[in-house]
Amino acid sequence: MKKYLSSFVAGFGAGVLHIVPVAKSFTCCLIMPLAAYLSIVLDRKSTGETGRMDMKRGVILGLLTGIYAASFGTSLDILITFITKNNEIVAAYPQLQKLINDFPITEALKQEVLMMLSSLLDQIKNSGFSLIYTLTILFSNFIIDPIFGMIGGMIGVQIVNSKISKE
Amino acid sequence: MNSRNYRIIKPIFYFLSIIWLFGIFIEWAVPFFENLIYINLIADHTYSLVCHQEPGKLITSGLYSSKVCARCTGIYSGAVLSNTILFFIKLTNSINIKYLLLASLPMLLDILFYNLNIYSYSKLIAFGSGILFGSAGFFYIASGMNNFIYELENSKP
Repeated sequence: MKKYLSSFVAGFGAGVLHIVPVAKSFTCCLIMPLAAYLSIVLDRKSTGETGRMDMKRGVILGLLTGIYAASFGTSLDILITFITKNNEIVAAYPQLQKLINDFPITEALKQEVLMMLSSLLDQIKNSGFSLIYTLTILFSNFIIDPIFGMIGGMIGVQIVNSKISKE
Repeated sequence: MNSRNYRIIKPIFYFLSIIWLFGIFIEWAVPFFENLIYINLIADHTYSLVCHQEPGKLITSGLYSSKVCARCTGIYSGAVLSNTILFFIKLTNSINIKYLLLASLPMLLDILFYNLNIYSYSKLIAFGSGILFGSAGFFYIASGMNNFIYELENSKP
């Protein structure tokens, strides 16, 4: 565990940034890669390693940062939704409803989608939990965060190794 | 050198990056493939993980809007562009990181100037600076992936 503490710290930071309303507006595609790079830097500081870094190590650190970010992001999202009985879907529902009504699709499909959304909304407003919503965020977070984490790990190793080459 | 397995993985990776880019414009496809409306709802959350999705910064056309902002659309378009180019040119083993920093400069300056209110947000500038950064960045991702696979191949017992 201690070996991958840097991924844990960076992953926690990225996971929180996915959730906190104000911080969320700063979210961009660079958050996960930056977290992975931070994880590499912290890892090298803690181990005292100064030589060239293996790409494999960087990818593993990036992957773990992504997994930790997804775990924290998903858990916090579920927890906040459960406590507040509110989330981004509830807030965006009126626009979503308008968008679906405007889409040039069949009336039957519109009704089906709107019914599904309104049942999801009812579940969140009443119990603070929706299985469909939970599965959606689980699926998204656990695919996207590790991929972007690994990308950050790959680029991070090249940044670290280029600094060593200069020295 | 390109590792043997990298040559196999490259087309798969290319296909996935095309799907990712297509996903950004999924709303335009919904009228043609109606059931994509369900994927469209999931895509909203999926792309929210990698972009702030501010309505004023999305690429819009009539009713439809992209799932990420103009800058992120540029970054992913640039990545796909470089991914395409890599089918025709040979990937070098290591690329100097200064080129990535140089390519990110217009994007960083645009973010800085926009936030300092030197000029108002321009989707065209955001897209253009994003495409430059994305296309340069992808070469480093590809190089990293190639090195990673090469290391795995050579660490086999």
